[in-house]
Formats: sequence, structure tokens, C-alpha cells
Amino acid sequence: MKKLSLLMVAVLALLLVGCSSQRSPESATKAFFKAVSQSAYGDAVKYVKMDENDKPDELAKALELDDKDNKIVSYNVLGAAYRTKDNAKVAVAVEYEKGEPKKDITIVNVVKVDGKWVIDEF
Amino acid sequence: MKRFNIFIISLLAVILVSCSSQNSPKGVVKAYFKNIQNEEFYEAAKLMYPEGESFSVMDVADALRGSIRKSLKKFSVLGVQEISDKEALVAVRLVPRDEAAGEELQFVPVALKDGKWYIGKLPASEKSSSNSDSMPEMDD
Repeated sequence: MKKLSLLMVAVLALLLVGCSSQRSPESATKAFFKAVSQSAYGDAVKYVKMDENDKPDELAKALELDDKDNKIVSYNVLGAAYRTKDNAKVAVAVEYEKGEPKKDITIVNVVKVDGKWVIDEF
Repeated sequence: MKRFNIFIISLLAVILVSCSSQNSPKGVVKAYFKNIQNEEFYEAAKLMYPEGESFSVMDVADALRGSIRKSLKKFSVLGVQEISDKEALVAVRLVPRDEAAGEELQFVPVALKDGKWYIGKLPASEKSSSNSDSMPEMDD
């Protein structure tokens, strides 16, 4: 019985995390950067806006190539500004392994699609 | 006597505020946008990095007055990215009076000169050799 309760709590926690990661522009951006920084490009694609012709595998490959070119060492989501209720820009302080500048602020364009925030452009 | 005390306290508060506003990247950006919000362009211009002998606060104030297109309702400083010990980028959320225009996000370069932070880029001549010669433009 105790084991079942633990399992239920774990499942609920997972569901909550899954839902909350795209509940705001900041959380979607954070989830995306977390996935990229862990080289989980397949996961990162889940937080990117897809058009009908986009293929997740190709997008993941493109992300991987971009990241290998200029590896993200650390990131910090600073906050968002709402252009409209379905479009926001999120500021992210990023530190790269190499390249100039090594430290920068990136502005990410995030849009709401079917109730979920996804990255449109960065 | 009571009035005199109030005067002294107010004076000290004013001195403290004016000294502390340029103590940090966040402080100078807050002071700058507060001035822009109040349309005090001369005060805002005084916070710009004084580069070169031809720098004139009055000219910068006039340029600011001409370039600010949207009246600012409120703003909030979101965070700072330190680039080096003399330069940083500060992310700011701007809310125009005309809310239909939508909020804006800007990152503002700030630079240290003589122990004070100013709005603007650090001149290439002031940078150490280990740093980049290029800084991002103020952008949205």
C-alpha cells in the first residue's frame, strides 16, 4: 500500500512537472535551455514551434550542430515581456564555452500554441 | 528645529540616492529609465558614458528627447549579465503608456568609469586585451 502511494505521488509529480514546463514563456525557455545544455536535443525540440513540414529529427540535428559550434556552459532566464497575450520575449543570460562574446544576453521569441508556450525564434 | 531636522534628513536621502544610483549596473539603469519615465532627459543624459572631449550632456539630452518615441508607463530591471569587471548587460522590461503597443524587452550595455557605472558601451581603448572589441547594440 505504501509503495502504491509512493508511485502515485511520483506519477503526480511527473505530471505536474510536465504541465508546468510550458505554462509560461519563462518556464518553456528554461526547459529548452536545460535540454540543450544537457545535449538532450530530442527533448529540446519539444519546446520549439513546429510547422507542418518540420521534422523533429532534422531540427534536433540542427540544434546539435549549433550547440557544438558554440556550447552553452551556463544560462539564466532573467524574465519576460509580453508583446501580446500570445507572444512574449524572454531574456536569457548565456555563457558560451568559446566565441565572442563569451557572455551575452539572448532574446528568445516565445509564442502560445494550443495553450502551450513554445520557442519561435532565438 | 523639527523643520530643520526634516530638511537635513531629506538632504541626506537625496545625497544617498544620487550617490547609490551609479554604484551598480542595475542602479544606473534604474535611474536612467526613471528619468526617461519622468521625461527628465537632461538627468538621463548625465548617466550616459562620457566618451571623448566633445561629449555634451545637453546635446545627448536633446538627442534623447528626439529619439524616445513611446511614453514610458513603467519598467522593471530583469537581471544583469556581467561581461567583465568593467562592462555588463542589463535586461529591462518596458511598458509603454499605450499598453496596446505591447511590452518591450531591451538589453542595455553599461560600463564602469572612475568607479561609477554609466549607460553605454566601454570604448575599445578602455578594454583589456582579453576582451572582445565588439559589444552588442542596445536591442529589443
